[in-house]
Amino acid sequence: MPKNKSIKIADFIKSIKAIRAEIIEGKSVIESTLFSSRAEFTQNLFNSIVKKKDTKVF
Amino acid sequence: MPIGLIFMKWNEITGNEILTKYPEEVEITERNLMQIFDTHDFCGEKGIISLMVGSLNIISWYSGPDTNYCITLLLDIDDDPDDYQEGLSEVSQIILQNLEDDIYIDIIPSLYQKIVQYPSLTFEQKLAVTYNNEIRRSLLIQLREEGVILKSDLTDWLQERYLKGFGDLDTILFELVQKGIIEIISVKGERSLVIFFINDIIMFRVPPFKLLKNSQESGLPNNLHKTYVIDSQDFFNNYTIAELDNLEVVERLINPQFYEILSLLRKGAIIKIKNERLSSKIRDTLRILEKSKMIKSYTDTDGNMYYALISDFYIDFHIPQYILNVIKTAHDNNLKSNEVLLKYLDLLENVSNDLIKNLKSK
Repeated sequence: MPKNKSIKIADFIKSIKAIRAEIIEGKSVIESTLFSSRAEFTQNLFNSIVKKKDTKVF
Repeated sequence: MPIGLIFMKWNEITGNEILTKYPEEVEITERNLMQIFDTHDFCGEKGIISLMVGSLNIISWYSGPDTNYCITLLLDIDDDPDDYQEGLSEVSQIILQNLEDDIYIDIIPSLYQKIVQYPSLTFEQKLAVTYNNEIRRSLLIQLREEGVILKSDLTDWLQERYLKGFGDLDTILFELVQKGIIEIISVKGERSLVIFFINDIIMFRVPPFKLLKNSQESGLPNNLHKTYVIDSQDFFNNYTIAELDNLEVVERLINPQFYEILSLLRKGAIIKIKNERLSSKIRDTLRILEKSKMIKSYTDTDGNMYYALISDFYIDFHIPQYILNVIKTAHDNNLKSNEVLLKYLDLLENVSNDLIKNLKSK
């Protein structure tokens, strides 16, 4: 899962399932650093909104 | 349109005691007051009820039998009480936080205006109102760090942090549940109800895309439009998302005078013809918006002035996807029970699936 890109909802659900499996099976396989921090999440969202707009200016 | 606001307390010896009302001339009979208290008492819980008492249309908040405060909004017969529920809930908390030295008496007129305006607030303004409240903001910040908190722990944390009181936690939590920010669930093995954080409020400045497209959209002469685009680009080249800046803009959004001007600026530049005098209120508003780098002023060769929006604002709900870090760490370090974490994952999956369904249906 790319750390620096906003996780799409479908990918987010996949991650939920992966962590759920870890908890149920009592394992710890996934690196928690694979997930964005809030600051990264917000910044990614900002970037995606700014880039998504149909404008030549930004 | 509401008719008035009454703040009262039930006294076991003297009965109903009106602590203050606004406007002063608003009238209500002792019998009607009794009916309001009786209805609250019949419900047996703190919270908000709406009722018709004779010809009076009423929405009323009750602090519960421990403190017996009641804040009642008298409405016009045609008003829908539901439109005022959030506003009354917000104002009730502010009144409770200002009981000391009777401070509430001085702020009642402005709080009444808040309630009156609440139904006409836009979605972004309502989010701004939620975020601008210090207690709710503190709760959000705590939830962003922990994701899931026992209600009893949250009560302890608030009591330590706000020694002078923080209003009624149940009312605050009920409002957050209604907005879809949290869910409160009983989980097997936990000593208290569990609060799960399922929607964050995310905000930052954004370029005013539509206005930047061309001079027809911005309302600026061609030569000024080019400078305007460069100014907006310059602002965003140096822009960093910051909480203090967000709070400053949030305060502007909930101020009717600022919001009216911002709404105009979103449609295009405000033009001041040479020698035209703007009212001092508008002048002050524009000056403050310019100081906070939301707008910039330009002058054309004829001496006319243009005020144009160089940075707009984005505020919306988002599922806190980053919270997976917190859940993972909690699991790895045994900070929360597996039951709580699995319940949290279920809730996050549910809200995500709902969001996907909503997006598909649009």
